[in-house]
Amino acid sequence: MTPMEPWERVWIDAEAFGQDIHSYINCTECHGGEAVDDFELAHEGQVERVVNSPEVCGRCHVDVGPTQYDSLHNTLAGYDTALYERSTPENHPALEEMQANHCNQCHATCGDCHVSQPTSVGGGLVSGHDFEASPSMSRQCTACHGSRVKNEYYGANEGVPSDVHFRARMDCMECHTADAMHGMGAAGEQTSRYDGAPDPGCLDCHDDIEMGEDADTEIEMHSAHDEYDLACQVCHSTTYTNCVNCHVEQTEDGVPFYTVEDHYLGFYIGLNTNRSEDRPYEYVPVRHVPIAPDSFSFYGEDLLPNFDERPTWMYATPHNIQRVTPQTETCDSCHDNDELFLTRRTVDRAERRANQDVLVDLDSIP
Amino acid sequence: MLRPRLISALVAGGALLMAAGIAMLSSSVGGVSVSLASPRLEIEPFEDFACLECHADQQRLSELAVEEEAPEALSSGPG
Ligand code: HEC
Ligand code: HEC
Ligand code: HEC
Ligand code: HEC
Ligand code: HEC
Ligand code: HEC
Ligand code: HEC
Ligand code: HEC
Repeated sequence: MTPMEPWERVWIDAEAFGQDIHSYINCTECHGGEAVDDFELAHEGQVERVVNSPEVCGRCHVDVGPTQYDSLHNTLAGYDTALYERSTPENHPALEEMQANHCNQCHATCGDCHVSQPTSVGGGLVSGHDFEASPSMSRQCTACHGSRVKNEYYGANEGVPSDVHFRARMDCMECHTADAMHGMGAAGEQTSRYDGAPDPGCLDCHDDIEMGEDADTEIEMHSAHDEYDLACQVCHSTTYTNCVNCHVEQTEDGVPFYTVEDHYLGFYIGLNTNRSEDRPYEYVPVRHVPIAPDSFSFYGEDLLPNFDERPTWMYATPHNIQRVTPQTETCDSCHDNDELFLTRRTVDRAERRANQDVLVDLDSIP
Repeated sequence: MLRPRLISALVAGGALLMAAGIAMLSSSVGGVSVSLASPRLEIEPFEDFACLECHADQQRLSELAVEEEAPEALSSGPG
């Protein structure tokens, strides 16, 4: 992403914006402040980010507004789930303080997808304040989903090719639709990005792919396994990023920051702890997430007393799909290959309990 | 300034009922009403020219807009 000049971030392209219905609305209705020709006065009382509220976008976009408000992009409920499951109620206030300092810029507002670059990259109007129906993959989506999704999808991790869909010139929106991004059709309140059926599912598009012994296919690996035994990614995804030990702190001046101590590339097949009718696979790729018992010790002692309640190796759907991967080379790439599966040997001793439901027993490697 | 593409699209979609003589960038402005799935909404006439004029003026913005300190630059590692 090319950096923007400070003026460019706030420059309105009067011609383009003039073609936009929203230019009929007073600036101050969305931004606050006052329409006067004085820099200081004009910005007094200005809202930091235009939020999705019933009064602003939801006033007219009555279909999108309310569901987007309940969507994970707005609530970040996925983070609450990941933290609170590992904690206890008396620690919630300290964790909330931590989240207020470190997670606020992760909430995606309507404007982060349709008007500006997100705060995490310093904001800046994407097309002169024109409201774009289709978000920008590189300036909006991957400005937030940078280090994992972007690097995997674009093939930026050394030695790992880009996603086959990227090479077919597909952008995020071909798979992640307006309805999904607006939280429409979500089955009740969402608590995690993997609630409900896969959205999208690989077979939504690849509806000609059949698996299992009765499958009409030449591909032996497809006919040797059932669709519900292995997630497609077990064969079609490859080496991805795993993160270790996120720590959050503040500088002496009170500026919050976080660091991820380390990350490494790897590919591990583990057991699916999310198993359901919607996600029946027994085996899935799993990714190490950056959390440790003392990740938030800056905000209090022992804030994650139930650390072992949730795995640190999580169900993953990496964005580096390939037709041919190291796994697809021979049957023995997987069968009897301990290295590829997440076992006691791969997992740090201190994290074994947390991951007991994910670990594949050395005696039952298929 | 009329906006033919937008206006014809909206009128065709029944989304926008036009009051006569609306032109944001000219000095005479009227009100617009929009009816989406909700009851009709009145939009106040556009008056915030002071904001628009400054934000469309690259020269003034170059003088006024300065690089903010970005505390998030301290954070590191894949998130
Ligand atoms: C319908 C609501 C709406 C109206 C009307 C509106 N804006 Fe915005 N504007 C937004 C949204 C949404 C963003 C994206 C950033 C955000 O969410 O705060 C934005 C972004 C901006 C930014 C860039 C901020 C950044 O750092 O990315 C500027 C500058 C701006 N608007 C100025 C104006 C001016 C001047 C007017 C009037 C001519 C105006 N806006 C009218 C909703 C509106
Ligand atoms: C006064 C009513 C009104 C408000 C307030 C409003 N919009 Fe709109 N918006 C419309 C209308 C009318 C359209 C065009 C018809 C349509 O496509 O639904 C539209 C279209 C859009 C589009 C599609 C643009 C395109 O090129 O097709 C986006 C994206 C959008 N609005 C986002 C927002 C966001 C974000 C906000 C809040 C910051 C907002 N709108 C506030 C009335 C409004
Ligand atoms: C302002 C930052 C930000 C922007 C911009 C953003 N996202 Fe996200 N996105 C997040 C965060 C944070 C989560 C995790 C929410 C949670 O788990 O609680 C998320 C979750 C998701 C999810 C999983 C949850 C779901 O709702 O399905 C998908 C898919 C996704 N984003 C795709 C996209 C795409 C595609 C774009 C561009 C159109 C985009 N995101 C833009 C921050 C952002
Ligand atoms: C995480 C990103 C994201 C957020 C947040 C988001 N949208 Fe969207 N929006 C999308 C995507 C993706 C599309 C479809 C783009 C495409 O099909 O190319 C879309 C399309 C639209 C459209 C065009 C009509 C349609 O439904 O296809 C409107 C209008 C719209 N969004 C309004 C809003 C409003 C209002 C908000 C806040 C209440 C909002 N969006 C929040 C990603 C987002
Ligand atoms: C070829 C289809 C496809 C494309 C293109 C695609 N994704 Fe995804 N994405 C998926 C699938 C499949 C999932 C898993 C969905 C599920 O299991 O519910 C997913 C899940 C996600 C998630 C949630 C899981 C996670 O790893 O955090 C995010 C965030 C996400 N995608 C972002 C993006 C972004 C950003 C882009 C564009 C750079 C993009 N995706 C492009 C298919 C795609
Ligand atoms: C939105 C539709 C869509 C989704 C969802 C999708 N794909 Fe694709 N996929 C395509 C298209 C289009 C191509 C490129 C055209 C082609 O070669 O078939 C492609 C290509 C591929 C290829 C290469 C095919 C070849 O002949 O070289 C593989 C393998 C693949 N996809 C697997 C997956 C997997 C696994 C998933 C789920 C994680 C998935 N796809 C999700 C549309 C999709
Ligand atoms: C056990 C491993 C394995 C699993 C699981 C698997 N595949 Fe494949 N797949 C293969 C192999 C091997 C090929 C052929 C690769 C080659 O061309 O050498 C292939 C080829 C493909 C192709 C391209 C060929 C074609 O017929 O279009 C697509 C698309 C595809 N798979 C999609 C999927 C989807 C979707 C799933 C999940 C429902 C899936 N695969 C599950 C091993 C697997
Ligand atoms: C990507 C890893 C992988 C590859 C490659 C792979 N398998 Fe498997 N296979 C598995 C896993 C994991 C299971 C266990 C599935 C279960 O028990 O649900 C399995 C189970 C089986 C089973 C038992 C049937 C069943 O449904 O339980 C047979 C037979 C089999 N594989 C044959 C093959 C053959 C033949 C090949 C080569 C053409 C092959 N596999 C390639 C991972 C793989």
